[in-house]
Amino acid sequence: MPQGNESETNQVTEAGREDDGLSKSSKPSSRRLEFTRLSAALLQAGIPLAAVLLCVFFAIQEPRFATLDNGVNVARQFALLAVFAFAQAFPVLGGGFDISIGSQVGLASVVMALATQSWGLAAGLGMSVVAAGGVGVVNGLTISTFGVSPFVVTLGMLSFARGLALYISDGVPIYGFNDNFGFLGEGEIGPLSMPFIIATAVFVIGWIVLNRTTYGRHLYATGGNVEAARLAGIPVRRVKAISYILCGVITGIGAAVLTSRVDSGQPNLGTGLELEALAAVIIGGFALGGGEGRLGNVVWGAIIISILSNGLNLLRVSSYIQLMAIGVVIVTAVVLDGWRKRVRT
Amino acid sequence: MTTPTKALDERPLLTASHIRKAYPGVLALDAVSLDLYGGEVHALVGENGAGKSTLIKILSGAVRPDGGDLLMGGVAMSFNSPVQARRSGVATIYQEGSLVGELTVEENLFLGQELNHPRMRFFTDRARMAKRARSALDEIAPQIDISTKVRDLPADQRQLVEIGRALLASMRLLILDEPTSSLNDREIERLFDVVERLKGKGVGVVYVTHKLAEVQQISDKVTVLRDGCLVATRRTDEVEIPDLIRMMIGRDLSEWFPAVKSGSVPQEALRLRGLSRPPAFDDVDLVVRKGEIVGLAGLEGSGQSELLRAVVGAEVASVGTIELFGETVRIDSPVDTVRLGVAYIPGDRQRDGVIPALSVRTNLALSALRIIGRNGFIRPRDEEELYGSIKEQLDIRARDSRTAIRELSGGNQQKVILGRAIAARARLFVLDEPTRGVDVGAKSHIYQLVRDLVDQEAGVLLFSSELEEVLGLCDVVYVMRTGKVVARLTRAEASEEKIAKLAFGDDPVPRSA
Amino acid sequence: MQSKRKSVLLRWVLTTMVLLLVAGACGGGDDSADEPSSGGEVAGSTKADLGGYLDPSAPEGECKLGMALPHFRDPFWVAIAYGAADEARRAGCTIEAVYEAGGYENLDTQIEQVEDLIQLDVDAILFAPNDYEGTAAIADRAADSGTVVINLANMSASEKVAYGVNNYDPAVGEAMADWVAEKNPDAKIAVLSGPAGANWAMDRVKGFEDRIAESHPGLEVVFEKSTDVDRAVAQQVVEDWLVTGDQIDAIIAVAAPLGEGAGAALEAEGREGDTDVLVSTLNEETLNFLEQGLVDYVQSERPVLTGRLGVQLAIKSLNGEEVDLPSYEALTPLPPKILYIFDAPVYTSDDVGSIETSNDMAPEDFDPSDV
Repeated sequence: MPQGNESETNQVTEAGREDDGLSKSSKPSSRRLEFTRLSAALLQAGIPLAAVLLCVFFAIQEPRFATLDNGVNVARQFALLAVFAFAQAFPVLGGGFDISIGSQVGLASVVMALATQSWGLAAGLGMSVVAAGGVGVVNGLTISTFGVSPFVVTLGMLSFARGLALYISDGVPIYGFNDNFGFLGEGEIGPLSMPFIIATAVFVIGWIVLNRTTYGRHLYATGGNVEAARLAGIPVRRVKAISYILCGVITGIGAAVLTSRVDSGQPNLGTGLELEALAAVIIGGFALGGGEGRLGNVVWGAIIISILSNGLNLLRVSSYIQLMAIGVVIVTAVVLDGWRKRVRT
Repeated sequence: MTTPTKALDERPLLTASHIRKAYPGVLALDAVSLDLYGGEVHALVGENGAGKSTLIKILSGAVRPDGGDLLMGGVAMSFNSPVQARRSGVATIYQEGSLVGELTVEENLFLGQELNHPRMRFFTDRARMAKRARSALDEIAPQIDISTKVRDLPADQRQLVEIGRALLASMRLLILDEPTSSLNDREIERLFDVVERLKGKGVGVVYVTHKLAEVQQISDKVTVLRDGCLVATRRTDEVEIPDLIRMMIGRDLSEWFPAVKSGSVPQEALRLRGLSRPPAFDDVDLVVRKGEIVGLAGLEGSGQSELLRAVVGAEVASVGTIELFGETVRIDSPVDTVRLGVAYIPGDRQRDGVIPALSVRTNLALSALRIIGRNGFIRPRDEEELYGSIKEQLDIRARDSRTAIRELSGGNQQKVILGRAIAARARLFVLDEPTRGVDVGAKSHIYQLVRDLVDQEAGVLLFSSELEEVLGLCDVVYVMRTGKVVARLTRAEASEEKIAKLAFGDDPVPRSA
Repeated sequence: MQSKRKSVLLRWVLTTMVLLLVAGACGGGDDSADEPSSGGEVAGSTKADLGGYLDPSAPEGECKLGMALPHFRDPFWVAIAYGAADEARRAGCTIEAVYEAGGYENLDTQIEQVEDLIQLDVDAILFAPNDYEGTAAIADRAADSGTVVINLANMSASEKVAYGVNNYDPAVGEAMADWVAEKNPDAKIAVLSGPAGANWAMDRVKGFEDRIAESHPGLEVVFEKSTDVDRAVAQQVVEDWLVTGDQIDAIIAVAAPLGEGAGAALEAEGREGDTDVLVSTLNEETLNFLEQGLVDYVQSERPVLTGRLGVQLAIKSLNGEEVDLPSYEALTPLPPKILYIFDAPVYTSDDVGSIETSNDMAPEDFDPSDV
């Protein structure tokens, strides 16, 4: 994390100045600086540290949490959430968000199932991406052309895409695939599960797009200050529209994995997933106004939610209390993140 | 250091003694001492980064000093928050303003100090508040209707509302941070009247500004800061502007505006024919040649900024044609103009220029991505090289290339925005108030940069509300009045009086120079 | 500068940790206090307790059980959980965890919960899948890890599931058709046919329709509608039907909330006397409705018994005992061995006052999240 390094060097230079003996108060000052440095370092480590603390806590409470088996288990569960969180990260960076992700999953699942029945698994995977990506195209164009708020557009899509999924499938799950259909969701290559491999691939590509392409720069700039970005010659509408399309495409990939995992086309698949994905993004330190956030931290956001869910399951905590715990974590994360930023400046 | 002579019986309202404040990497203030008296306007000047902002933040409780004391009436204070400072009678009015746009003037006046109803404690006493609000504003701004929403007020009246709020809270010391940066001449006069009246009531005023003419006009004393140190505190009538400048930048400014090189190339960079977007501007014909600085003059709000925005495609003109580099072009958005080699330096840097959360490097490279990008991909090394070369050229001072731009001073931010235009290899630069909110040293640097640009065959079209800037910098001046171009003057023809006369039209008001 | 901020920060971090600890404690820390409610009984079930379907067995080795059910919004699943928990207590098994997926739509959640049960290393999983095919892979995986999988009420399309226990759903519809026809051979009927695609619902409707085709040609289905199992939705649908003014002699509701919605709609329109409501599932609310005359026919499904039989089948599988199941024509091709409950009783208004509920309802103080 670049911020971490930055603040480290700051603290060092400041301490250096103290040592010049500029004033007689240098001694208490440097103690205070130690203090500041510690708390700053703690906050910079923030999310990963919280994840580690959670792990320690669960491992003490329930030894079976800390087994290799469960590690593989959590990795798989985490991977599924992470893909959708990566998808959500794009519109959030552009200053919006997409609450139709869950419905896109349902639609993509049904479309994938039908396509697989007719043309095979590869076509199914492709059609899943096309279906959810298509939803993203509609979202993006509607938002950028008519200037309607992302909340309204994707809320409408939340309903529309789910309805379409139910309509196409008659509300009934679609079955009847051969054994390799489950490979994307349940398969393993060596010790790595397919969902984990796919999530890693999506992360790497997403990271490159955000950090090493013109589009990524444009997206950060648009989310950071849309008017300044526009005046700098960035096609902000197109940039925003593309963020929803990317969101849809990645969602389509995730939907294919999920569909493969449930071995059937499920029109109701992914219900509520949009909020979990949004939660992971927010816990990962993204600003809801856009323009701030690193994809790497989304990984941590997804890890925290997955660990929390798995750990609380192993501790036999009621799922109602789990929902409460996730709520607490979301708000706490944002509060801590606010502190982190203030300490930095 | 000269201590001002003041009546011995009068004790300072507030004494700052050996104030020290360090930020990571910078010593912002080093043993700064200051006495502030009631009934006196005390100007605070210095380049950006000299420590003015930090000092007023400490005085107003927004920042805690690392060392030193604040004494009020001889009693040591420690302000932990602006609220505490306010309680002690110190109020600060910042550039950005702190009013809530959606609330009315009256509600803003009493924000945080609402009067409760004498019997029903949970309700506010609206009648009493309205009366007190009215009487407070009558002193300084009788023209303001207290039931107007603040967002509907012009900037100068908003400022007066803020001052009114301070008056209502019986402030004894008022800190004004760049109060005139968004005001026109008439509004400035009005503000000065108010300041004089406050003085008469025994209120102490700390006046922070870049405009040295204002220092001369309004202040009794002036304190100059440089690099966190107090250079001097003087009675204003004892110093001249060149003295102040010398104290601020620590050297002589032998040449304020760069010399013009002769032999400009007669190729056109921009030609406007009948460009209109009523009511902002109407039927404008204008030519900018390569190697030429063209300035727009006239009263602020006569359509100059809107015209600039139309040229760069920020707003689309309804009638007329724009020719860029000899070809008529259709402009729908800044995407088009940037691609054609036009760069825009907006007047409101915070709103339209910087992407606050992004690094200086990214901010700088933003319009040049199609140049340094390879098939849509960017190598950080290329970006860093671009930043390195321009940083050198513009003398941008940032800790490193990955520092967020919001951590930079105003002048440095402005240089980054200018650097963005240069990095994009623009051939026509459109500058709206290029030195607004920029300190004296950076100003002269920016003038030199603009001159360098035209020496390299670029065209420049700029607007500045500071007449001396237009006169000193521009080869050609177009004077605008209520949206129309009323005159085109060459450098030789232009003079302050002439422009003022043209700008005011039939109703000439002498400009206080 | 930041020392104060830091102490605030620390307080926050501590608060969060405490909250998590509390959350952990209230869910997990009370292994000692899980005495189910109907205490005082002698340990061990009798064959009569098991509906005569099985001879009770006791576990020979370790017997740790886990449950994964679709949700607890319907008392039906609470009753299943109760039957299983109570039977486990009597037989000397422990329940390691009871998970609910929060609804049928959360298939992915349910799969994760089964994965977590595998991590908890339970000996057997009592599993009511959200989806037939969609849970086949996870059921296989659980079985492959050495866990005995028993399906309760819903089935998984897995060969590796040891046993399923289920009400014989077509019989529910058949009995309803017979009852309506006996009262009025030319009745006009409206059918609330439950969630589209749910096997249990389709089987009940199919049983009903097949019986009409076979034996009651006078009966006519005038309305039919698939809905979620949701009382408010059903009420609205029935109100819409009533607005048409068409004659409806009987409403068939394949699940309790649907019957409740139908009864409430009829009451609101003042037409509860004209139309009979037939509902499957006996629970507190349908019992109430029966007593008030808003519902006229309640089919017991004996979920408590389903839960008990599931535990017994788990024990027998762990013991390696062979169980002889009567061979029926199975409703689903998988799992290979399904124990069907056939003889669940039907109650009508005549039975009010003498209705036996112990096979259908969990005691009031039973909390499924606290087993």
